[in-house]
This record gives sequence, structure tokens and C-alpha cells, in this order.
Amino acid sequence: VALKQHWFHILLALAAGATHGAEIRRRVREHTDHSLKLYPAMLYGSLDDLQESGLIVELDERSGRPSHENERYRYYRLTPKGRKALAEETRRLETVARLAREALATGRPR
Amino acid sequence: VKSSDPTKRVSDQRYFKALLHCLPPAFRERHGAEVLAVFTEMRNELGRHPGVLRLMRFYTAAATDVLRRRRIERAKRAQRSTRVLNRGAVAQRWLGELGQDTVYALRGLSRAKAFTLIAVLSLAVGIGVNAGLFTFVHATLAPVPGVNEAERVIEILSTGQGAEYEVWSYPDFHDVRAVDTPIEAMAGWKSRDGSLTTGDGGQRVNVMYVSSNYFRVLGVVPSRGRDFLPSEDVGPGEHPVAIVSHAMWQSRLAGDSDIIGETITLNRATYSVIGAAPEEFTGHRPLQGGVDLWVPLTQDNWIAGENNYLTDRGVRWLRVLGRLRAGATVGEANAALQTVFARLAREYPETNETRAARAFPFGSIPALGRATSMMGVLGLFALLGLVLLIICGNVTGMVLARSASREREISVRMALGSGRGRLVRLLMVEALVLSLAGGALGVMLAFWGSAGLMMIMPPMPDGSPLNLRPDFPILAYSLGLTLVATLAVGLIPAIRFSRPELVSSLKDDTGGGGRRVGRIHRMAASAQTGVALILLILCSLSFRAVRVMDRRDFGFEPHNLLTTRIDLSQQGYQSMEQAGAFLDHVTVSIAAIPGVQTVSLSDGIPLDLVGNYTSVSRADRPDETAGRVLVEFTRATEGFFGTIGTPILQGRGFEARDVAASRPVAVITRSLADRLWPGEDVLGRQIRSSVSTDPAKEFTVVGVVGDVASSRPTEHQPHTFVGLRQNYSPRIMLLVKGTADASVLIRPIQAAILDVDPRLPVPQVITSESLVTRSTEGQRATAEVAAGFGLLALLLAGIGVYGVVAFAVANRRREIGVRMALGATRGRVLLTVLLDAVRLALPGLVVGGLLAVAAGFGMRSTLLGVSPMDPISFGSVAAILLSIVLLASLVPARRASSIDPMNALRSE
Repeated sequence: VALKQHWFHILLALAAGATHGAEIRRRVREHTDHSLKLYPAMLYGSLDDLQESGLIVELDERSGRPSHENERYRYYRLTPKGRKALAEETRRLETVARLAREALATGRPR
Repeated sequence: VKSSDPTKRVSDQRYFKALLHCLPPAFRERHGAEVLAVFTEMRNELGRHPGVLRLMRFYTAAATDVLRRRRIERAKRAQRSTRVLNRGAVAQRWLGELGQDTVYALRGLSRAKAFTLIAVLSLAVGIGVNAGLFTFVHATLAPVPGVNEAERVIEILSTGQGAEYEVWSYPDFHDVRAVDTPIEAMAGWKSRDGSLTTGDGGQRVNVMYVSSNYFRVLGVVPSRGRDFLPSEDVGPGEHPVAIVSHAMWQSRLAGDSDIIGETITLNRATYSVIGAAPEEFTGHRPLQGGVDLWVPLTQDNWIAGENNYLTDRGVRWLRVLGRLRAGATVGEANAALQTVFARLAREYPETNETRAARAFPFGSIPALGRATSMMGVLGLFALLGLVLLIICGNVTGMVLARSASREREISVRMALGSGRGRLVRLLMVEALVLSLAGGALGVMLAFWGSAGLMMIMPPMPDGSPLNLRPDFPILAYSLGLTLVATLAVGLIPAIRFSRPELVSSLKDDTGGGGRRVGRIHRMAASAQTGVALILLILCSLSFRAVRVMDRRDFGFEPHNLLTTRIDLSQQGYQSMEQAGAFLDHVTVSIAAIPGVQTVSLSDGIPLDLVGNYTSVSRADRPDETAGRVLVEFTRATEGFFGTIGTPILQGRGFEARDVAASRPVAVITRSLADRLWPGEDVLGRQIRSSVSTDPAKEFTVVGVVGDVASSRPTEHQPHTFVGLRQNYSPRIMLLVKGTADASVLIRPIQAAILDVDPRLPVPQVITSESLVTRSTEGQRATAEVAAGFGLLALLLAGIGVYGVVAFAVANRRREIGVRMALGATRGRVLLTVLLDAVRLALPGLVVGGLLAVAAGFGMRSTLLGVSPMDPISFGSVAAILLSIVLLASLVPARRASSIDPMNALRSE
């Protein structure tokens, strides 16, 4: 089953390291080259949803969130389950991409 | 935040904050600051002066984002309330809410004290009577203590012409026993009162005459000494041995450990004690009273000697128990019995042509009539179940009325987000709290009640044999009843409020869903008033009959008159010759006691509930059947009429010269004299009659006395008195008239009798007044039972009417408000509600009244002249019921009349 597109990108952003919502938005904006705009209500709602599904967790103070950053921000990191989901989705996309390339290579579908 | 700060423009911040308020508070709490920060960041990415179009696109996208999330959050909340994401957490929350509901229910109930009290008490009565019956039946059906392998024990009834009897003839028993059948052993038994003579006088004891294998058939082993031996079945009188009960050994024979070998004197014969029964075994029918002594039936003179009961195949007196062979069934036993009895019928057609036998499993309830008593018990269960159902109906009515008046509260709770499920649960919790309280109280009532029942059950000697302690099945049964009551009480209100259209229909005066429930309710309440009417009328009729009976002229004077029944048949006083000296002796020594006015002998007095009956005719017209008069007759001696205080109108009473050798004389009452010789002189005339089993003979009338009451208070028969010395019976009654308070004479009289013959059991001396009271006991009991149930029915009817009227008032608030706004006075409203209550009760009262008339005619014979349509009874009971109906509806009626029209209309 395909992962929702913005979920995929949020997980991808967190794969680079634990961070907060605003930074996630920036990272997504960078690696999608401004094509995916994550507006905040959907962004933070999705963070809640991902947490409920057990794909990410919020860091508490003790588990070493950077102390120099703004303390009001909530920090999230991938769970092993989240990392697995991301890997699976990546594989799925690879398959899709491979199929798409093959289809394009033969010119027209059989 | 300054408006000059380029990154945080005031207008933008206001917009973002407004957007944020579209999201649920929990979300704002968690993410509000970060969301604002990101919005601000995104706005700043647009640059300091973006074009209007770009800015508008951004604002629109931001609003779309928030609204989209808002929709998702709402869906998630709706889902969360039903979905079981995490069972533990949900159960925990459910329990937490249940706790809240319980607290809330308790608080609500404690605020409505009258409601709670009435509901709990009526549920307690309903559950209590049912649990009490169950306790009693449970104890009654318990296995007979002391019997081993009871499943192999059978009771064998004798059958004849389609009917079942308990009794066998001894020769039949003997013959069947000799045949090899699936019945391993058969024991015969017969129980009878006996007179036991010990060191300090006589005692009445319950003797069981048994075949020698009685204990082995029941699997009972004597705890001390030995069992009977088969050789001891040979008699009569060759092996005078006895086994005593544990209680007898302990109490009456002083618990001597060396009782074995002691001799006891039973009915003038000497027996030696060979054993004692185990403590738990008090006979195989403990409910009918414990056995004191077991004696081989062949040893008793009465059975084996005088009456030839052991050899006469036509005399049936023996009851039979059996023990099946291991693995044999009752059916196999029956097949074998059929074969044997078919043979006996061929061999002895005269006595056995239609006779057979049938085996039944052994139990604490005798097999004869077991099915009938079980049907009776089932009927009682059904009846009391119905009572509980009615009570539940009443309480439901009250709950509905309460819920209707709590409509505002309920709608407020629902508006505040209380789900319908939560509301249903609250109502169910309330019902559960009521039922549990009622159930707990009911169980207590049940134990007191069954203890009370125990006390009024007649023959319960030496401590109750029934175990009436609360045990698991009884508590489980009561809990079951409680849950049934909870469902019955909680479900209808819960269903009503769980459906929104019904909640709104509640507001509607003519409420759609409420109508049907309402009509059933009204009918039930009406029927309850009818039942109460019937019971109270029967109670009133019976009490009036008792009063009529107490006030009428008995024809004798029971005051200061003592009576003592003495049965001389066991002591060898079989004829007047044998008894004469004893009787003279007793009479003389009692007459010598200070305070004794007169002494006389008879075989009964009026209103003693015994009575002998015969028919008399004029001796000169013996064949004239129309002249035959059914009379009650009493044997009496000299001084009888003076002692009982009946006036002699003509001639004389009995005198010492009226002995067997002289001519038979009779004294008759005036009504009999008037019937036989109207208007003529009767002295010296002859009547013809037979006394008990003697052939008819002539008696000369020597006296006429005033009319006396019959033995039974409901009969009115003329009376004939004959001389006791001329017509002896060993069951005599000693009559003593005291000068003052006769009760001080009781002990001296007992002492005087035992002084003359110490072998006699201690005689029971009873005042004649208590005999008279006892004679109307039946009517009194009817009256009391009817009164008890009548009051219960009255209470239920009151609660029922209250529930219905209160519900109606609660539902009609707006209508009443409109009426009052249109000018109806408070008095008018009060009257309307009260009249509605009367209209509600009227059909029940009319039908109940008709049924009461029918019941009254049915029991007319016991009403002693009180008319079954007695206007006083009907009038007063109807008045009582109407006032209860009015009283029950007064509270809701006052509530209705105090409705403020403006308030009532606004609140809807």
C-alpha cells in the first residue's frame, strides 16, 4: 500500500536526523525543489497521525534534543518501524520507476 | 510584537490566529505556537512586498489547509469514540465513566429520597418473597440427612383402580419381598404415637415400627450398639428390642453411654435398647417430625397381636421402601413389580384383583402426591414471579415519570456532549443501584420470612430440620432476580431516551411512543387496585365472620372450664369394666383439689373441632326416612351439663345410676325435641339411633337441654347426649370447672391423673376458651392471610397509581400550563388530576368487586351468616382503596397545580 505522499516526504526529511516541524517543512521544500508545499495545519496534523501510527516519536528533553534550538519546538525522530516503512515505500517507488522506464523504453505498451 | 517588525505584521498575525481557532483546542494547545511560526515563515518567504495576487493565493491556501485538517480532526474524534484502538485504555475509560455514573446515580437517588425509598422497598418485597420461597423450597428438597446412596432408595406405592396409595398389606409385602427382583431389599414401616414410661412418668413418643432391614435399606448404620437382626422379624413379642434416636438418647435418656441393654417401657411392653441412630438421621421423613424410637413391627402387640395385621391380606396399613440393586433402575423395578402383582392378583383375586405397585425415587417429599405438591410449588413460583413483575412495572412507571421530569437535565447533558450510550448507561446504572439495594434488603426479608414461615408450619418438633441459612444457590438466585429486575426497570426508560425521536416525542403531549407503554401501565395499575379490593374484601368478610362467631351464644360457658383429653386405649382400658375404677378414682381426686367446682367426663364438648355424628329417629316411626335427623352426639357422665354450663330445660341430666345395666338414656337439645315431637312433651319418649359402630338401639329421652354450638363453628346441628357409662369410648375428655382462675388448676390436675395411673403420658390441660378460639382459627387464618396479601396489594396498587399519575402529569406539563394560562384555577387542575386517577382505578375496582362477590359466594359456608355482599365490607374497602388512589395521586396532582404557566410554556 502506498504511503501518503506528504507522509513519505516527512519520513524522508526525518531520515536525515531528528528535528522539529519548521525544519521538516524546509527540508521537504528543499528535496522536492519547492514542488511540495507543506502548510502547517496539515504538517502538524500529519506529525500527530504518524506518531499515532508509531512511525515517528516525539523526543523528550532527556533523549538529547539539541539544547541550543528553540525550546518551544517539539522534536521528532523516526522509529525503526518508520524507517522500515520508508524503505518499503522506496522499494515500491523503485519498482514503479523501473516499470515506468521499461514501458517508456519499448515505446508503447503491448 | 511590534507592528514595525517586518517579519510579523499585525494583520497577518490576526489572520493566522483566526485560522488557528478553526482547529480543536487540543490541537491548538499542542501545536499553536509552531503553526503560527511556520505560517509567519511562509509569509516571509513571499518577500516584503509580494503582489496582491500571490498574497491572496497564499491566504487562500492557508485557509484551505486549516479547514482540511479541521475536517480530518473531526472525523478522527468521531471515530475515536467508537473505535477500539487500544482495548485496555477503552476499558479503563469505560470503567472510569461507570464510576462517575455510579456516583452520579447515587447522588441523584439520594436527592429523590421518597422515590428511592418506595422503589427500593417495593423491589425488596418483590425479590424477598421470591427468594424466601426459593429458600424454603431449596431446603425442603435437600437430600434427607443420614441416608446413604439415596439414589438407590425407592418408595414403593400400592396402586389400585388407577389411584395410588401409600399402604400395603403385610402379606403382599411379604410375598413381593420373597421374589428375586431388581429390588435388592424392601423394608416396611408404620409410624404411630406411643406412650413411653420412664422413671419420672409417661411421655408421648413418635414410634416407627419397621421391618428389621429398615436401616440397611436406607444405608444407615447405628452410631452405637447394633442394627436389628433378620431373626427379630419373628414375633409377636419374642424379640422386644428397640433402637433410639440420638435426640432421645441425649435428652430423654440422659445420654448414658451404656444405654445399650437398658430396658424401656413402651405401651405397657418392655423393650431392651440395642442401639442408637446416628445424630443426623431422624427418620426418612424428617419434615414430618423426627422419630424417637424404632421397633420391629412384628414385636408390637397392637400390630401383631390384637389386630392380626400381619396375616390379613385385605388390611392395608404398611408403607414400603426399597433399595435397588447396584445399577438397577426404577423402570426395571416397576417391570418386576408388575409381574409379581399380576401373579398375586391371580392367586388372591378377592383382595388383589385390581392391586399393583409402583416404585418412585426416594426424596424428602413423599412420593404420594409429589407431583401435586411440585405443581403447587411451580404455581407459587409463577404467582410470586408475577408479583415481582408487577413491582418492576410499578418502579418502571416511577422511573419513567422521574425521567420525564428530568427531561431538561437530560437534554442539557446531551447538549454538553454526553453520548446516548452514556445516557442509557446512566439510566441502567440507576436501575442497578435500585435493584441491588432492593435485592440485598429482599434477601434479608427472605431469611426472616422463611424463619417466620417455619414457626407457623405445624409439626416441627425439636428444632427445625430445615437448613435455612443463606448459601450459594440462594444468593445466586437472588442475584439473578436482581439482574432481571434491573433489566425490567431500566430497559424501557433507557430505550425511550436512547432514541432521539422518542426524546422529542416526550416533549409532545400526546407522545407517540409513550402512548402504548402508558396504556399498559394504566391497565396494570387498575388491575392492581382490583386485586387489592378482592383481597381486602375477603379479609373484611372473614374478620366479620369471626366477630359474629365470637359474639354468638355457644349454649355453654367456656369461662374457667378446663379440658383434658385422655386416650385410654393404650393402657388396657378397653371397656367400661376396666376403666370404671380408674375414672371414678380420677374424678374423686380431682374434685378434692381446692378451687375445683365440679368435675365431669365426656368424649368432647362443643366447638372442640372433633365431633361424632349419627342419625336419630323416633322409635315409634323407625322407617320414616323423612323423620331421620342428622345429629351430633356426645357421650357424657353425671354433672356434665352443670360443668359446661348448659341449662337443663326439662327432666334431668345424666346420673351415676345410668350404667350399662340400666336402660339406655339420652338427653336431647330443644331444637331436636321440636323437630321430632313438635309441641309435645318429650320426656320418657324413645329415640332410635346407633352410637358409633354399635347396632341401632332405643334410648329413652330423660331430659331436654338448651341448644349448644356444634363441634365445628360453621355447622348447626341438633345434639344428642348419651351416657358415657352406657356407651364407653376410651378416648375421653375430663372437664373441670374452677371457681376462679382455672389456669392454676392445670398442674394439680396433671398430678392427680398421673397419681392414679403413672403409665399415662403427661396429659395436656387446655382451657375451654382456647378451644373456642382455636375453633375459629380457620377463619382467622383466612382473614389474616387475606389481610397480609391485601396490604401488600394495597401498597403495590398505591405505588402503581402514583407512577402512572406522576408520569402523566410530567408529560402534560405544557398542556396544564396552557390551561392555567387560559384561566384554569389551581383547584381545577388538582381536581382534574385526581379525577383522572379515579377514572384510572375504576375499571379495576368494578371488575375486582364482581370477582369479590363471586369469591364471597364461594366461601359462603365459612362466613357464618355474614352476607357475601356485606355492604359494610364492600363500602369500607372501596372507600379505603379510593382514598389510597387519591392519596397516591395527591403528590403529582399538587405538583401539577403548582406549575407556573409561564415557566412551563417557556421551558418547552
